[in-house]
Amino acid sequence: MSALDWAVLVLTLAGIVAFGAWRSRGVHTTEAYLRAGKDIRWWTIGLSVIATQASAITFLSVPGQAYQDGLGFVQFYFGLPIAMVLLSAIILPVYHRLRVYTAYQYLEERFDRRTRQFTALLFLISRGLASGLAIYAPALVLSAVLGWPVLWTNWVLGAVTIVYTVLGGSRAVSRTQTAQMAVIFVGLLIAFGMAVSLLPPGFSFGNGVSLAGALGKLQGVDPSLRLDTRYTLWSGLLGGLFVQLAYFGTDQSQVQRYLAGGPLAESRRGLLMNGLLKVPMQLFILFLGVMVFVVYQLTPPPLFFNRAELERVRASHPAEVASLEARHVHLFAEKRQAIDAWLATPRKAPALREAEARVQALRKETGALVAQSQPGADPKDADFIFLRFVLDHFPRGLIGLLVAVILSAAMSANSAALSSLGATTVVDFYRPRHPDAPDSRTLAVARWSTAAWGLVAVAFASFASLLDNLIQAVNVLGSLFYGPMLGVFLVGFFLARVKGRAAFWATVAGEIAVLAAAAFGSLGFLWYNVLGCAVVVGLAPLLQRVFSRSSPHPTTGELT
Amino acid sequence: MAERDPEPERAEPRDERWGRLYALVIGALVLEIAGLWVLERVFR
Repeated sequence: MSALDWAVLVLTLAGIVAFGAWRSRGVHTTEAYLRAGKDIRWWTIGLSVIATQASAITFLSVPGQAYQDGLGFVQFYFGLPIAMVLLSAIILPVYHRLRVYTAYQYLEERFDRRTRQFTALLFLISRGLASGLAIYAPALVLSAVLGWPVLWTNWVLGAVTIVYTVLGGSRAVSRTQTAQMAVIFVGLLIAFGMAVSLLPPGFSFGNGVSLAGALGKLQGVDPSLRLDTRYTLWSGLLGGLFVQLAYFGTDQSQVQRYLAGGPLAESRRGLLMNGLLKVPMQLFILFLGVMVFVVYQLTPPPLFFNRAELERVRASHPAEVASLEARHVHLFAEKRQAIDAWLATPRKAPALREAEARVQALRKETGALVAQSQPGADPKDADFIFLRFVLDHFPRGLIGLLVAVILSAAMSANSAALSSLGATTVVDFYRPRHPDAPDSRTLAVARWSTAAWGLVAVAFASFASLLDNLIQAVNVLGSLFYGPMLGVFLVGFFLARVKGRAAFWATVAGEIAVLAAAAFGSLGFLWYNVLGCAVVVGLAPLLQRVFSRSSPHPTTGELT
Repeated sequence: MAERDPEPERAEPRDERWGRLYALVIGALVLEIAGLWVLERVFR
């Protein structure tokens, strides 16, 4: 990166942090630290909810995913607007009526304290580990592309986030996220404009969209009922609804965003804003990836977008890499001719599709060589496509802005995670044990626990490189906890007869079932969510019947 | 710090207004899905 890029990057990030610090000054009570504020408006809540879900990897991976597979990933978000409506209509009023700080307080109100604390513990473990990944993943990509040391990137990214989250609490998180979203939106619009401007003279935007359509990149809806296809209309609507309800309804990093301290109407409008904007926003990011794909149909793309990895392979297998590069040049020229022929007669696309299939086969061959050349090397380069495109084609200054977009996204998602981890620690564990502690002490515990969780996340990120296939590992870890968490909330909301003892043991059984399936079974990890939820929802009423027969006393409100 | 948020409940806007907003969110989703379906067929 040039000096101008560094200046843009540092000024943008410093400006965001200064804005957050200025807007969140005067946080002197625990209430002010845990809440974004009574004066918060719905658009701040909406932007904050969107920013919390959009991590750095969203902006690194999603355009690359569209480059490879087209718009189909958007279907994953089809359940989200429905989830926002259900949340606004059913769950949000309950949280507001109980005036809770964390989602888990509801579980004590509905069941008992041990069910609350067990579920809160599941959240702390899963979110604590995930926040480590939220730091490590962008640091890994930035280090590979820009040559930054991973360890330093982890610590700088983590330290800046920890400082403003600890100082300004939830208010700083929300205010900073509005500025971060502004930078992200501006950066993405500029990136889209740049991609369109890179189309050669005589090749219009309309031609680009047609070319993407001819090569199958515009399929955003797959109405087939195939279960072996990851993203279809139905898996998006049903599976997506399940995942988004679990995430937005029971994950404190989101619950804290919309239970911001203002009136119910503002929280509702904020959630509905998310429901209205999320699908178009994801579609726009995917369409940006499609435009990058179109540019690389007309301008030679790299053989492999993770250049550092390819150079390592070249050192050990120079002849193989040279041969692949020569074939790549030849296939690109062949495809360019096919595009010219297609432009002359747009209805005749089969030759074009065959030329593209040969290029894709060569990319796979290159990935296979990368994988076999070094143990642990990643054969996929999709996460590197967008950043490589930016570095190769954007002018000075704009590169710094786009790196600021990626770091802003990392900081916004992570600050919300740290704030929620600190809030859950103090509200669900410290406060019940020390109900008479002075507010100044509770505030200090909240700040220190936020900082401690930040250090745990950075430490995990620092050692993450020791794990093989880290993203897969952390995805599996996340899926180990979400199912039972959603299950116990669903039991609370919809199975009125189930009381505390049955809910607690059903949740424990759900967690054991998931851990057993992970240890001994061959179930795909996404199904752990369904399994854990189903065990809790299925077992809780049965246990309730058993416990009701064995004990004549009611089991509501029992405290341990 | 209070165990619960001390802020009392405020009056909610009328229910039918929320119903219209919910319909807007779901309607937008239906239009987006239909739009994507048409886009793919037009540029196939």
